[in-house]
Amino acid sequence: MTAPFILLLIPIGAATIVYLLRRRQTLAVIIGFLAVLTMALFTGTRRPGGVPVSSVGESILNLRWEFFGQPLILNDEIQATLILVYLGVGFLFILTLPFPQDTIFIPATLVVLASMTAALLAQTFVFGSVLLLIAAAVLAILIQGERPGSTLASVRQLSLAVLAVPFLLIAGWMIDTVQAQFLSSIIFLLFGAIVILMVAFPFQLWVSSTVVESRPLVPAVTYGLIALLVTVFLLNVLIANPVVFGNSQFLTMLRVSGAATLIAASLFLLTAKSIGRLLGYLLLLDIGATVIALGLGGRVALDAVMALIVLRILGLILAGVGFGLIRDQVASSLSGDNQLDRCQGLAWRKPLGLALFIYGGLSLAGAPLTPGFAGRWALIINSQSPPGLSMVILVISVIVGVVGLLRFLAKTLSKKDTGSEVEISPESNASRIVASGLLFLGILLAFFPQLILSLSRMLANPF
Amino acid sequence: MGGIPTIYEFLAYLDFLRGTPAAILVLLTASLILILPDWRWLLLALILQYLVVGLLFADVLPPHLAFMKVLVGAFICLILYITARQVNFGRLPEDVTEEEVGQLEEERLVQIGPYSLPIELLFRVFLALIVILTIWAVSQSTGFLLTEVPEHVNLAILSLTGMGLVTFSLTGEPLKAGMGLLTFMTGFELFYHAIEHSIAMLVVLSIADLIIALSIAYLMQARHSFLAFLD
Repeated sequence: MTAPFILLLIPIGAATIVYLLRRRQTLAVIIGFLAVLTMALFTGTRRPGGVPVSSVGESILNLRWEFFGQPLILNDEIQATLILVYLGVGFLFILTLPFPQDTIFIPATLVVLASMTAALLAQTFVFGSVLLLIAAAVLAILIQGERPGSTLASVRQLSLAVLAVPFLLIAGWMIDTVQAQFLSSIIFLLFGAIVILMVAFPFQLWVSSTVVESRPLVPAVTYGLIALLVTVFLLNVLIANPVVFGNSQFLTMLRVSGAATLIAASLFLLTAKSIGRLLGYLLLLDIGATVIALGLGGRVALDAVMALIVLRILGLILAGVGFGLIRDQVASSLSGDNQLDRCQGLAWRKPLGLALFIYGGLSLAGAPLTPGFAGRWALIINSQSPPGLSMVILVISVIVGVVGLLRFLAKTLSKKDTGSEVEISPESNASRIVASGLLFLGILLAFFPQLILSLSRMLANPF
Repeated sequence: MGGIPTIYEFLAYLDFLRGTPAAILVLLTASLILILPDWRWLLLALILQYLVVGLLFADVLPPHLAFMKVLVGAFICLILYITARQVNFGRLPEDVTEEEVGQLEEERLVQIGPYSLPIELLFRVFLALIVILTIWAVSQSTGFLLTEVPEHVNLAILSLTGMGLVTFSLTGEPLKAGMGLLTFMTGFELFYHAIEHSIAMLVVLSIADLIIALSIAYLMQARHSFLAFLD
C-alpha cells in the first residue's frame, strides 16, 4: 500500500458506503467527514522535504504509486493545498446537517475529490488532464443532484470539460516532443484550456446556470474547492513550462480574457432578474479577477491567484448558505420566474439569510469591509505601475457588483406585499446559530485579512 | 476449426471495409447522430460508429488494443440503451392523457408535398450537409492534413470531431448532447492514440469515456423522469 493509493481508496470507499446509507443523513455526514479528515491527516503526516513521519509506518507511507507506468507522487507542492481542500470539504459536509443538500452531495463530492487528488498526484500533466475529465464528469452529477427537470448546466459543464482535454493533451504532446517551433500553438492551446477550465470569457455563460440549477452549497465545491485544485493543477503545468508562463502574449491574452469576463459579468449583473443569476454573476466577477491575476505572471500571480480563490471559497460558502435560506421564499420554481420581483419584504421575513447572502455576495464582488476585498487589494497593489486598463475595469466591476447587490437589497427592504402565497418556512435553531457563526466569521476575516492571506501564501510558497 | 474467430480473422473478414470506406461510414454515422430524433436509431448509429471506428483504430493501434476500444464502445452503448429503455426512449410516459399532451409545446411541422416533416429535422439535415461539405473540403486541403495519421484516418478524425462538436453544441438534451460528446472524444482519441502509444493513456481515456457515459445516463434519468415531465 502506498500513500497515493490510500488517498484514492479512502474517498472512493467512503463514497460507496455513504451512497448506500444516503437516506441516513447524519451517518452519511459522519462517514464523509471522517473520510476527508483521515485524508487530511494522512496527507499531513509528512515533514516538509518529503520525509514521512513514521507514526503510520514507513512501509505504508511510500509516496509513489504507479498506474500502468504512470507515477503518482505525493509531493510538497500540493500537500498544503490538499489538506486545505480536504478540511474545507469536511466543513461543507458538516454544514449539510443544518442546511441539507441532496443525498448525492457527499458521495459525488468524495468521488470528485478522489479524481482531482489523482490528477494532482500525476507526474505527467497529460495523464492528469484525463483524470481531470473524470472529475468533471462526476461534477456534472453533483451539479444536477436529485433535481428532475433541466439538465442544461450539467450537460454544459461536461461539454466544457470534454472540450478542454484535447487542448491540454495536444499541448502536452507538443511539449513532451519538444516541438519548439510550435510555441505559438502551445500558447494558444494552454490559453484555451485555462479559460475553459477557469470558466472565463468566452466560456463564462454557464456559471450562472450552474448556480441557478444546483443546490446552494454546490457552487462552493465546484467553483471554490475544486476550482482551487484545478488552478493548482494548471499552475503546476505553467510553472513546469516557463517559456509559456513568461510569454508576454500569453499573459496579455489572459488579462484580456479576465477583463472581458468582468465586463460581461458587470453587464449581466445590472440586468439580473433572479437571485441565482445575481449570485452567478457575482461569482463571475471573482473569476474574472482571478484570470487577470494569473495574467500578471510570475510570483505575483501565484500569491494573488491563491488569495483570490481561498477568499472566493469563503464568499461562496457565506452566499450559498444565505441563498439556501432565502431561495424558497422567492421562487416557486427554480427557473422562469422573475424572482427579484418576489423579494419585496424579504429583509423582514428572512433577515439572517439575506444578510449572509448580501455579505457573501459583496465579498465575491470584492467590496471593502468584506473578506473578498483583501484579494482585490492584493491584486491591485501587485499589478504593474501605472495600473493597466484591466485594473481600471477591475475597480469598476467592484462598484458594479456593489450597485447590483444594493439594487437587490432595496427591493428586499420594501414592505409592499407582493401577494405571494409563499409561506415562511421556520428556521431551526441550529441553522440560525450556524448562519450567525458564519456571518461573524466573515466579518472577523474582513477585519483581520492577514489570517487568510497568510494561509494563501502558505499554499503559494511551495511553487 | 469452428471456434471463435480471432481478432486478426475478424479484421481479415472486414478487409473490404478498411481504409476510406470505414472513414466514409464514420462520417455517415456521425451525421445520423446529428440528424436523427429517434433514440433507438441514435443508439444503433452509435454502436455502428464504434464498430467501424474499431477498424480505424486498428490502423493506428495494435489490433488487440483497437478491439478494447470497440468493447468500451459496446459497454457505453449498453449503458445508454438500458437508461433509454428506463425512460421510455425519451417519449412521454404511456399513461399520459390527451389533455396533458395538449399542454406541451407542439412540434412545428413543414409540409413538403404529401409529407409533414418537423422543421428541426430539416434544419439538422441542412446543417449536416454543410458540415459534411466543410469536412470534405478541409480533408482535401494540405494545410489541415494531420501528418501523423493516414489520409483516411484524417478524414475520420475530422468527421467525428466536427460532427460531435456540432451535435453537442446544438442541444442540451442529455442523450443527444452526450452522443455528440462521445463522438467528439472518439475522434480526438483516434488522433491522440496515433501520436501517443501509452497504454496508461489508453486505459484512462477508456475509463473517462465510460464515466462520461454513466454521467450522461444519470442526466437522462433526471431529464426524462416522471417528475421532470410534471415540471
